[in-house]
Amino acid sequence: MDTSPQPVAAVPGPSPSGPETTGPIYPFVRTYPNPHAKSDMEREASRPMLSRYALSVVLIVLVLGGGLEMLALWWLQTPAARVANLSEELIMAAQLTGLVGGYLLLIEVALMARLPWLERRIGSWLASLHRYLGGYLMMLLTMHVALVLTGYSLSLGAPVSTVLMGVLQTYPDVLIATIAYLLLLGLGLSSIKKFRRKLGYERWHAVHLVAYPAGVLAFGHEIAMGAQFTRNAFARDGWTLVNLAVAAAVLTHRFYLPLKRHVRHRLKISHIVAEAPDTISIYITGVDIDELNAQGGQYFRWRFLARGVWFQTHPFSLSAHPTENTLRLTVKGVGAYTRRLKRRLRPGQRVLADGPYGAFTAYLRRRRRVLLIGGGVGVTPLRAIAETLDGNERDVIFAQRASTEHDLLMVDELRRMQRQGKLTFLPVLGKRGKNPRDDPMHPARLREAIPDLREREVFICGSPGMVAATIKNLRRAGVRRTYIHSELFDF
Amino acid sequence: MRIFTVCTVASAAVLTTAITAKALMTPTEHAALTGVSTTAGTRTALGPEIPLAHGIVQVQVTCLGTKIVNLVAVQLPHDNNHSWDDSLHAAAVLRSEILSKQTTDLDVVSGATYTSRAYLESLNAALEVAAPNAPKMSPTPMS
Repeated sequence: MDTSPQPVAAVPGPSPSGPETTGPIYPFVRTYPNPHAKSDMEREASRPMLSRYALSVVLIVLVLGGGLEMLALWWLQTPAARVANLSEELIMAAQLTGLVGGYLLLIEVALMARLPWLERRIGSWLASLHRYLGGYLMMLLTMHVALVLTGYSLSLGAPVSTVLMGVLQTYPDVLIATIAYLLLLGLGLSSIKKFRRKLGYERWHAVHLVAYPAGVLAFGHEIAMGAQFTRNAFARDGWTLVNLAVAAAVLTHRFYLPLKRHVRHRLKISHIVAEAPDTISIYITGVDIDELNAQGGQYFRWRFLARGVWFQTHPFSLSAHPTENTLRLTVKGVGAYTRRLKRRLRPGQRVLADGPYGAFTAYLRRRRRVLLIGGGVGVTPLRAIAETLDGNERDVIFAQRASTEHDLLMVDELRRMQRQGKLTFLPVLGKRGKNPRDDPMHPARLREAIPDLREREVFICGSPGMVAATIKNLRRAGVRRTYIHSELFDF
Repeated sequence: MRIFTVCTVASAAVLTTAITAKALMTPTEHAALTGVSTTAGTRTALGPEIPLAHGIVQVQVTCLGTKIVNLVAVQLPHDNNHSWDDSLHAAAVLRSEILSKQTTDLDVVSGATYTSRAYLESLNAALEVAAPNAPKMSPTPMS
């Protein structure tokens, strides 16, 4: 199911009505219709039925429904005599946490399966949900293990260590599942903020890959030991089918399709341009780029096949809407990896790109007037979104937050877009200072600079701190939360 | 962090409610007469559900006078395939022993001690109803 945006002026190529152009490098940019400039019929056609928020709520309700189904399975399969005393109650609680935990593990894997439709509509919220549920899942699994051990040791009147050894020796499936639990525990610990910072993105990501073998190892004991599955062929087959479906989705969208795309598009670096002393733009050419159907504001996971960097993949946003044969991304040398990229990349090197991902695109726009606020390298996806926004210098304001004029990024391109009448470029300069009134993003100063702030839809991109502070200031200035869209540069 | 707390509290509430609600439902604690055949002269009784760590044991017994003519294990522990195999084996052994010997002097099946004891417990309660005068089954402790 592809519900990719099909705006009226979406056909690439010159047409009488003429899509907007931003300059000689980007001749055929698809613009997103200004929702207030067209007739009602066209407006309806260009808008999704459910907003990003409504769709997320629907999906969460569906997921909760699946969890309820697991509870119902337990309820129907358990006679009342099973909860006669404390040890029985503990064992039943262990069964319940096991059922819900197994289900949640499946949901966690499915959230990261990079299903294109979900990625396009919900985007980074999937990863946020994955992170929140992750801690909860670890708690459920730990409770499952603890409850099994205490329940059986109470019921058999033996110490926990004896029960543990007995269970591990009698049931090979449980031994395997214990290995799975330990793998998941390591994964969970590596995701605690303190450890994650220490590990760094790449190692943290590598540790996360153990979730796949862990999921496979845990599945055996769910089928063989799960009281709800052993004597109920219907439940067992259903559960197996759901697991296979998620496994197939993962294999397709994380292995097969990226490989196929690589073979088809044959991406390589065409040239590299310095934007600032520590910032480079990488231009990448390939075959049939427009068939990737990427939008300005989306990102890819890039693997550059150059010495010293080929073994890592990192997400970077497109810094321009793709043309039919060119992608561009802009990288700021802030970490060891990005600095190494600057040293090691040369034109001609091959690139593997996995994507496009992300729902932070002009597709979210519901209002005629738009304000884009970018900080640091967060300017780049907004620059790409600005290209696809239909409007004039009154409709689109591009605010760039920086402490001094020298820190501004892509000034030439933004000024050129302003000269073409596509947007108004508004540098917001200055340090935040001690006095709140000194903050150039103070609500009062924002309202002063942009009097119609409340009628605008706002897109923010930057560091987590900058995004959080900006959202707070905008809310104080009277912008409704539903009209603020943000993307963090964080992992 | 707040979402995590909400999730934890909500799920703890749901799980506790489910278990408590289940516990409040009355289980079959007493044996009941389920069938009397006047033509064959048999009386059938269903024993109580005996909970074990792996599941439930429940036995149905059919008597002709004080003689046990049939035994059916209505429920056996089936939480996992391992306990299911063991209890199937134990139930088969006990059934043939009881039907052939009609005796109180029975060995519990080794490897399925708890299941055997629960089996006999449920059987005795059922016998009380089906044939009050029949001798009680009692396991001899394993040597």
